[in-house]
Amino acid sequence: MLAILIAWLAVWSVGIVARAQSAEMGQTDPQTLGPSAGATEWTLDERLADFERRAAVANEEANAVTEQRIAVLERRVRLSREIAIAEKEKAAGKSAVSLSGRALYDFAYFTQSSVNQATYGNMLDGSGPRSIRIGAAGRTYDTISYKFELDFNGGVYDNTPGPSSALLGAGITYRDVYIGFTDLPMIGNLWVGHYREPYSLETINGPLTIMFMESTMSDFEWSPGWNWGVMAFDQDADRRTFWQAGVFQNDLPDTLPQRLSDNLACALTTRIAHLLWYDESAPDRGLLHLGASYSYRNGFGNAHNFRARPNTGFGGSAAFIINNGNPNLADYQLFGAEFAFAYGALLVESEAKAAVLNPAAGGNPEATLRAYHIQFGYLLTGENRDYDRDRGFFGRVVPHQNFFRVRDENGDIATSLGSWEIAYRFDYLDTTEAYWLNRDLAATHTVGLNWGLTPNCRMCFDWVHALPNRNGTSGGTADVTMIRVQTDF
Amino acid sequence: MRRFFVNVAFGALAVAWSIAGSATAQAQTEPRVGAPADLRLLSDSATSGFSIAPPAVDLESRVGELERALQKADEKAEEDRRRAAGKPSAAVHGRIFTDVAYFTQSPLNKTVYGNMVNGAGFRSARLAVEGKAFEITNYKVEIEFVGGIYDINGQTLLGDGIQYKDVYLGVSDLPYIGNVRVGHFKEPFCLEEQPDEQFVTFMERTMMNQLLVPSRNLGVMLFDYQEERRVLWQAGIFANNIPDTIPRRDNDDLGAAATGRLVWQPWYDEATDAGVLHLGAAYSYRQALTTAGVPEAIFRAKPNTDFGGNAAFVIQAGRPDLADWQIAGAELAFIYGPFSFQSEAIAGMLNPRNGADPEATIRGAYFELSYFLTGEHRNYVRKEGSFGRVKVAENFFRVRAEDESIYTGAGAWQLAYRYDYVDAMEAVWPTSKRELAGTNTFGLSWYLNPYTRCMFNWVHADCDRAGIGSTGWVDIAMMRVLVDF
Repeated sequence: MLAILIAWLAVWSVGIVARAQSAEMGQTDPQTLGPSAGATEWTLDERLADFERRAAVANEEANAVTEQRIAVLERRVRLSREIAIAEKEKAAGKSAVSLSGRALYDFAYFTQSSVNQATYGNMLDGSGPRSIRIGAAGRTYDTISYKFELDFNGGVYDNTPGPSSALLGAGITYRDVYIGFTDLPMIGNLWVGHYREPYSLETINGPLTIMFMESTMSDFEWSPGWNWGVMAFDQDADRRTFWQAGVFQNDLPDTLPQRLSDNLACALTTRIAHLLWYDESAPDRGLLHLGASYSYRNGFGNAHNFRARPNTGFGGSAAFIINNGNPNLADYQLFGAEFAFAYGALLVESEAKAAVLNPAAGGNPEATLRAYHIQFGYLLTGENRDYDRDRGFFGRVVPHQNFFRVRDENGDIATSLGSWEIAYRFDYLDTTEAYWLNRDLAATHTVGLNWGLTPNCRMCFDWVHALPNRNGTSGGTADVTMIRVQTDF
Repeated sequence: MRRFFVNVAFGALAVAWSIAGSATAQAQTEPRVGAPADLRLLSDSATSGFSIAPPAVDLESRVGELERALQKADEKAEEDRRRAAGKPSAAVHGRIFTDVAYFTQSPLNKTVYGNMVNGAGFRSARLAVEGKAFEITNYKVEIEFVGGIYDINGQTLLGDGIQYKDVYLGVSDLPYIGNVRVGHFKEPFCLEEQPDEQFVTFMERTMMNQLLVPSRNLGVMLFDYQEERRVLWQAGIFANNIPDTIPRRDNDDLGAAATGRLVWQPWYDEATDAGVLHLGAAYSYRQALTTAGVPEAIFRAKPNTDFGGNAAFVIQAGRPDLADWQIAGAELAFIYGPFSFQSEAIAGMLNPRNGADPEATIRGAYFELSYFLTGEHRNYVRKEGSFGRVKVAENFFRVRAEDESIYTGAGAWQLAYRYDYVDAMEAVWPTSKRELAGTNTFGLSWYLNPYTRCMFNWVHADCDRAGIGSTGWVDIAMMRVLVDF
């Protein structure tokens, strides 16, 4: 029993000493070195603890400074985030505007056979801008878009309505100037304003991106081009079927698309296209496109002149190897069928078109103008033509490698090719049924070479060989050599 | 007994050791109370190689890097700001108005004025660039592409062309005079004329406006707004009746005009911006050109429409021998939330040369009421004494959601009525046409968003001509879709 008591006391005494020591160590000034008062020498543990304390204080001081700096950084990041959000909100409350434009410069040289020159007159060589456009486009609040594009390569005509009005001088023409409503249920999209009527595949393409410098004779002759109207368009959920339908003011001058008349009778134009096959795994590199379009158009009982040059914009009035029409057209209808097949770098496009002219009572008999064309294009450098899956038409070629030719640091010349495309087109147009002016028909062969320096810059070389026929007699041959340099932004 | 002692000694030793061990452990732990967590971790792992290197070496270098990057970004932003201040800013703007108008005339009206033709197409298509330079100068270049090229007298339309709209440069923040503007811009006359057309309640301005208000001319104007007094004054001299196709005059006589306008806003609701009482008065003295044989000024108006052709000018008045004329106008506008009332009256005093014909006064007045069914309010611009862009509470959208249901935003809907009256009976030229007319216009505006608007206007005009009396009525149904940017 005594032994237990002794042991108990011994344990307590050891415990008390240990506590007293630890209490003293706690009170020690961390700045002072050496053993605390009352102790002669520190144990290893004590020295370690002291060392740790000093490290802790130094660390705390360092941390306080770093934390302050981090806090400053955090405040700055928060501030710039707030500014970014405010700017975004401000931008969302405004209309976005992006500028666009294009410059197309052309040269054309004509060579005519003697028969051709005798029949049609001398076709003049030409050079100059084919199109100079400036435009602005954007969106307001996601669901409304607009485009405003003017061509400064136009003419000012007198106020006589119809195609016979006289050219007074150079001026501007309206191109795409419209307001668009998107994401609408049922009809999808709605455009109000001035834009290309949805007739024919090549018309929707436009000269900026098509395979040749100019579209076919039938496109010149009767494709409605731009008019003022309202159009709805949409595509199915798979983006395989595309439809467009609109009512338009017929034959408005592009210099000022405005009609002042008791008769605001419109043209009705509609197009439907379907991708019978589309290789989803390689976008736009494999597809089979079929399309059809129709337009009913008021002739206002006026004379209506259908005319076309051999796939060129130059040559003067002598170059109109097709010059026919109807002197008192009540109305006319346009029909079109489209076929396109893209397989890798190859593109085959073909269209057949007809215009049925319905004369006013007692006028010339009903007549049908017919046209078709087929064209092949192959990109030697392996690219393909983009395909727009909003409205179903072809777009531009994006080169795999943009063109450059530079001297590097070693003095060597490094070259990249850009894209190279070769193309051929056969184009045929027959207006012999129409009974006014001349019974013209013509066929043209066009060979083309397109060099895409970048997606927005290309050079085109076209050679057209035209075989016209007037009133049942051969009109000889006309050859047109053309070069274009174009850029857009 | 011996065995007992051995047991006790071992037991005591074991207990003593265990207590001493716990006391040492306590002594080790105690000074670390309050130390940073990382230090605790550090010393817990002390057994495996003790390290006292400051833990933030890596952290500090990262923080330093961030600070340097931030400083660089700040310097670049400052440099950009400095560079931007050193050259003019340029923002692109524009607008597209597409219109349709249908006319119905009473038989008598058709006989007297001729057939007014329906119209469709662009009413306006403009592109503009505006900006500021060096903080105190500003500029604007605005071209209208729905224009016409006229003969040298400005009467016969030759073909389509462009028109100059706002093409000016300005200097702001000047002492005493406030702001100066030089170039081609709207003369400070008439409240209805001041806002851009997309901010006007109706599709077209009043007959009073077409008949008498000078609109844009080439000139110099001083103007300032005194916020504490809520007073705006504008005064300028202009070359009178300059054609918009090319604002330039080659003539010994430059045909000057002096125009001034004073606006007072006795009440303005600062809290909501949705309440204002606007009072204004304007005066202009205008000299006629002295070219013999050319009618210096034709005052004419269509019944609140731009279409209809020449037959639609139901008011045509003027003087072939005008020396000068004066116009004076009074303005009143009151906005109270979605409700708005606006009214103006203008008189034009025609003063013939050499006392040839008696002086004549042409008078015009209108009032209009409008109400936003969706709760928005007209946006009054205090500094210009004019109206601006309406803020739409909920923009229009109509989309099919993923769950196939259709969601719709209403946009803003505004109903409006206007009565407009002009009297040119006193004017004696052209002699056969001393006319007056009154119109009632009902308007419905649908603001899809602040930049897009569909408008429906129906105008009923009653016309009168001296010697005939009533010349019947014209009804016009008009529609517009507009976007501006």
